[in-house]
Amino acid sequence: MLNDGFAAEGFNAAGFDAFLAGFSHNAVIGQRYRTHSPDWLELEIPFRPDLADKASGGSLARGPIIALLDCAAGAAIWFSRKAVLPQVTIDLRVDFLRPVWEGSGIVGRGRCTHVAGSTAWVEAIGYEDDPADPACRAYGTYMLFKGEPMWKP
Amino acid sequence: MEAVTVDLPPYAELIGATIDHWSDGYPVIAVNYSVRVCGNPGTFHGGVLGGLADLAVTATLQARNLVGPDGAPFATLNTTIEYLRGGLEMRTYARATIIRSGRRLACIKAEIWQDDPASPCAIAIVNCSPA
Repeated sequence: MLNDGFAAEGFNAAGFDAFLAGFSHNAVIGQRYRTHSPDWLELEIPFRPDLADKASGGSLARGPIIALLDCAAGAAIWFSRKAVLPQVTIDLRVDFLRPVWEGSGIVGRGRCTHVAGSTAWVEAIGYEDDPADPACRAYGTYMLFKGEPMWKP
Repeated sequence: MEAVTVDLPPYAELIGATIDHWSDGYPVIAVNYSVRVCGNPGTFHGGVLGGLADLAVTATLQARNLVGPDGAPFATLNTTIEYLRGGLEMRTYARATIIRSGRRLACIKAEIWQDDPASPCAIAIVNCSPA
C-alpha cells in the first residue's frame, strides 16, 4: 500500500513525493513535490528536451505546464482536506504570460481558495525563480467526492 | 487533404500523440490510452487532455498558416478547458476549429472525444495572437 503522505501524525513530504512520482503522467513528466506553506503547496517539473515546445528546444511545451498547474491545484485541495480523496477537475483556465525558456524547470504553486459543499476553487501560478514573476497562472474548479482516501498511509 | 507539413512538439512523441487523419482540412490528433497519460487510475490525466487540445490548436495554426501582419506565427495566450466526462481507457482524438481569426487575434475551439465525436470528454477555448 502506498503512503500518500497524509499519515495521522501529519503531512509526510517524502511519502507524498513518492505517491506523486511513482506512476502516471505525473511521473512521465518528472513531476516532484517541492515544498509547502500552511496555505499552498508546490510541485515542480524539470526542463527536458522531450518536454520542449519544439524539437530545437527553446521553451517548455504548454501540455506539461497544464498538467503541472492542474496537479498543483488538485494537490492543494488534497493538502487542505488532509487526504488524497477522489476529485475531478471541472474546468481550468490557464494564462500563458510568457515562455518558460530552455534550461529552467518550472515550479507550480497551487492554492485552494474556497470550498463550498462538493466544489473547490483553486488558483495556481508557475514560475522559475520568483513567485512574484510568474510565467503562467491558472484558475480552476474541482468537484469533490466523499469516500476513502485513494491511497491510505 | 494535407495542406502543409505540421510539426508537433517533442511532447507529442512523449505521450504517443500523432496526426491520425485530416478532416475538412483540419488535422485530427490521436493518442492511445496508457499509463503514460493516466491521472486518476483508469482515466486520462486532465493535463493530458489539455495538452491534446493544445496539440490540436498548434497543428491547426500551422495547417492554416495563421500569421500576424509582420509574418509572426500565432502563439497561444490562454486556454480554458471544460472537462465534461472522464477520459476512459481508449483511443482519444482531438481537433481544433477556428471560430474567428483576425489580424491580431484568433479564437479557436478544441474538442477532445473518444468513441463518439458528438459526445466530447473535454472542450477548450483557446485565444492566440502573433508571437
